[in-house]
Amino acid sequence: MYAYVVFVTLSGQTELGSALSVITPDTNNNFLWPETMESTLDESTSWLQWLHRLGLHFDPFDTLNAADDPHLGEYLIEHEIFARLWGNDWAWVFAPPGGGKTALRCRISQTCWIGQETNRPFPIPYLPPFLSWSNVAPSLEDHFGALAQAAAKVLLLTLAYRPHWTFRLPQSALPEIHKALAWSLPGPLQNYLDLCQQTRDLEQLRRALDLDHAFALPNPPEVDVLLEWCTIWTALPSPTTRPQAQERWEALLRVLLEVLDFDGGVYLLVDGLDAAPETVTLPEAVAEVLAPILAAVAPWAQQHIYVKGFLPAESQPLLTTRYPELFSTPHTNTIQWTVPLLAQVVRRRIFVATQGDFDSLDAIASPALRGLEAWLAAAALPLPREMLVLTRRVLQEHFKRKDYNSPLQETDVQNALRWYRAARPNIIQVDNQL
Amino acid sequence: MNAITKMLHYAKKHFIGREDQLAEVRKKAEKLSAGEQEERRTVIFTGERAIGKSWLLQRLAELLAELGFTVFRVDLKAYANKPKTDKPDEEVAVANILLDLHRLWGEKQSPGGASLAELSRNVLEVVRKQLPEKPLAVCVDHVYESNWNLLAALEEYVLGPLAIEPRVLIILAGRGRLYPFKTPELRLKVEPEELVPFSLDETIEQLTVQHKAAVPLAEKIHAISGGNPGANDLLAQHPEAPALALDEVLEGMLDPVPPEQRQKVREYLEALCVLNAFDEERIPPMLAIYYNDPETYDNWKYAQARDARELLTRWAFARWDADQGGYVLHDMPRRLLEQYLRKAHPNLWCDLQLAAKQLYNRWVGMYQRNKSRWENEHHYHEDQLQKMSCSTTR
Repeated sequence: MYAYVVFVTLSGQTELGSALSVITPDTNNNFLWPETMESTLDESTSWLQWLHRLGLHFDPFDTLNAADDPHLGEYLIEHEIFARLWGNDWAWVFAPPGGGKTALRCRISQTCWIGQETNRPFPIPYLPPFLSWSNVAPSLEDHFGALAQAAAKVLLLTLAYRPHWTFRLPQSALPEIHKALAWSLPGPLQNYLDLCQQTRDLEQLRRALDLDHAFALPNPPEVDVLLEWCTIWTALPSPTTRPQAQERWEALLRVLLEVLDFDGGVYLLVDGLDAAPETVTLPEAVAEVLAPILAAVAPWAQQHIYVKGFLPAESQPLLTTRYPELFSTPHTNTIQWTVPLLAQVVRRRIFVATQGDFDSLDAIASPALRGLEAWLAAAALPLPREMLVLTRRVLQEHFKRKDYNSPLQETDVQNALRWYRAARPNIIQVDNQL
Repeated sequence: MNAITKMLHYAKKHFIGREDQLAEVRKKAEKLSAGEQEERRTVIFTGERAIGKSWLLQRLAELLAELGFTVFRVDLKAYANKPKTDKPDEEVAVANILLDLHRLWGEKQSPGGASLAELSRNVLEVVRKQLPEKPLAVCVDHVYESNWNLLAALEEYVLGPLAIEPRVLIILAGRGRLYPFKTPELRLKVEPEELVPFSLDETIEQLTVQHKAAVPLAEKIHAISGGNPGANDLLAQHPEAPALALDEVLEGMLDPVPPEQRQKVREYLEALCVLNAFDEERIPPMLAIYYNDPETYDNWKYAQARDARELLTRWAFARWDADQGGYVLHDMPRRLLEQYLRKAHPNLWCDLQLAAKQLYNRWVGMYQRNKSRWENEHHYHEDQLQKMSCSTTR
């Protein structure tokens, strides 16, 4: 008999949470497959129990925010775009709001953390801080300041997750890193070290640094190792002066590329331009914000600093006209959400959630329903998030009926579509406001 | 019934074919040996049951050793059987794999490590020091049949860190859907290849080196096996009457299934093999005919049918096929099962075909959205009934 251990984590975003199951085999079985649960589910059946009974090991439609999704890397579709983004060159992705840019950015960040060494690129997420600037046409110096801060935040968190990098560095290298961090972090370095020592929890440090979940690295250190790491940095004296932004930025680059020796260089992940009222749907404003960075893109690439821009679709024509070489075809990718691609979003998630058992809602639907994803994709607004919301609603409609021992029925789909049509005007309104 | 027919164990003298695959790996290996850059350093071999993945992997391991590689072989099937401890099994398995890798380099002392992450770092450090002297080949078998928790840990602590090393060649083999590795070198920069059945010439060559007495029956064996090397081997072990040996061959195919489940799996397979695709809706009517017990099976709940379906997918006899809109049996078992039923139990085979035809006839009327799909299935079974000259009344 197999033993089931189900870990349930409430996401805080929804009432239903998500679950991972760990299945352990006995010694007589060669393969670790789950034995079926009780065939009959009763009235007290929970959402997750029901999903599990359907063969889903977790709710793949629960997390709409890509940065919070632990399975993001497994869901990846559009491999060609990821492959073109991943490499020693600059690259751009154009997509509408909600079109998958942030998911790709998070995916790039997570890929940088594979392994525990410095032989992959170092990712710096750069969301231009419009509020801290007095205008929407920042200078290069403005960018340097913001870039240095963004780099310092990720570097501190990464060093905390990987204390062995610090332990193996020569003593003489430590003051340079300490100085670079202290110059550019949003708060005093010692405050962050104190937080680590007090909470012994890098999740707290991540939150204090205002970094999203994509920056929660796997394999945090043991507590005693973390405390030893804190002690090393606490012992170093704080710098008494703070240079100009450019020097602060260059100090961090030196640490990343020379002291820590990141083989894959630095990936500068520019995102968030369609989340700010200053730039959204205004291609001219996007171009103006980016202008100082765009001038540096090619020279930076020579220094192994590769800009990866996740930009609003509306800005593509203007940027391509104004900077034809920077935005030439080999560097540029556009995500266009077609019905087949949206259907693939759902199918991929089902594939991952069932651990490859099946990859379509058809497998849990009545024979009356085949090609269900395509049907839903044609009804949803052409964005992955909309597709996920509608798909989840179909499952919820079935669950609501407490008909646990039958597959999805056409009535579930029709009810979900009715709900979605009623909800959709709000979504359109939000889109228009954006 | 005689003892279960067993497949031959690998031996170099019994290996034939797969020249293209051997050449491709050799080419990559030679580049790595010469210190040249090779972007795609992961090769993935997939294919149906008994197509020869494990044999190819063993042959490649020999070849790579001859080319001067340190060869690290991992069979995930073996690691799944380690005794239980208080740690999750995948962690124990991966720790064992790391320790085996460490020992491979002649390291006597324990690498140490309070956690799996630290153990991985320590072992990888040893490996990295050796790589400039000698490239490493990692051959992993039964990858895609394995539990995803095991694969996630294997990627995190072994394959992911190794895949980025320019002097490491990774060869993966397994049956089923590809696992969604996150590491670009294991997912995007890979050479995937599906192994196909042998041609008739290759079947003859195989029998010549493995079962010489069966060579005169090569054409007959090939027609039954479809060129599947494992089936060729099993059928050739009964050269006097390969078709009649099907029953034993099918039992041999069920070898990985625990004895207490074997009969049920065999019966479900026989009941469903006539269908191009099946699902929880189609299982009960077919079982009702197979067991001649409509009272029980026509009243089966959806969840009971799911349990039956899961038994077949769990043991990798069936997989979901989106194009077919249902689960399909893998080619080799289905081909053998159908041949067995046609020869040994022709009336049952006819009854099952008729039941399928009648089922789809009902569905054509019931499910208008997918009418043409079910019409096609209806016609398929009608054709089968005619070909076999079955009576169409029951």
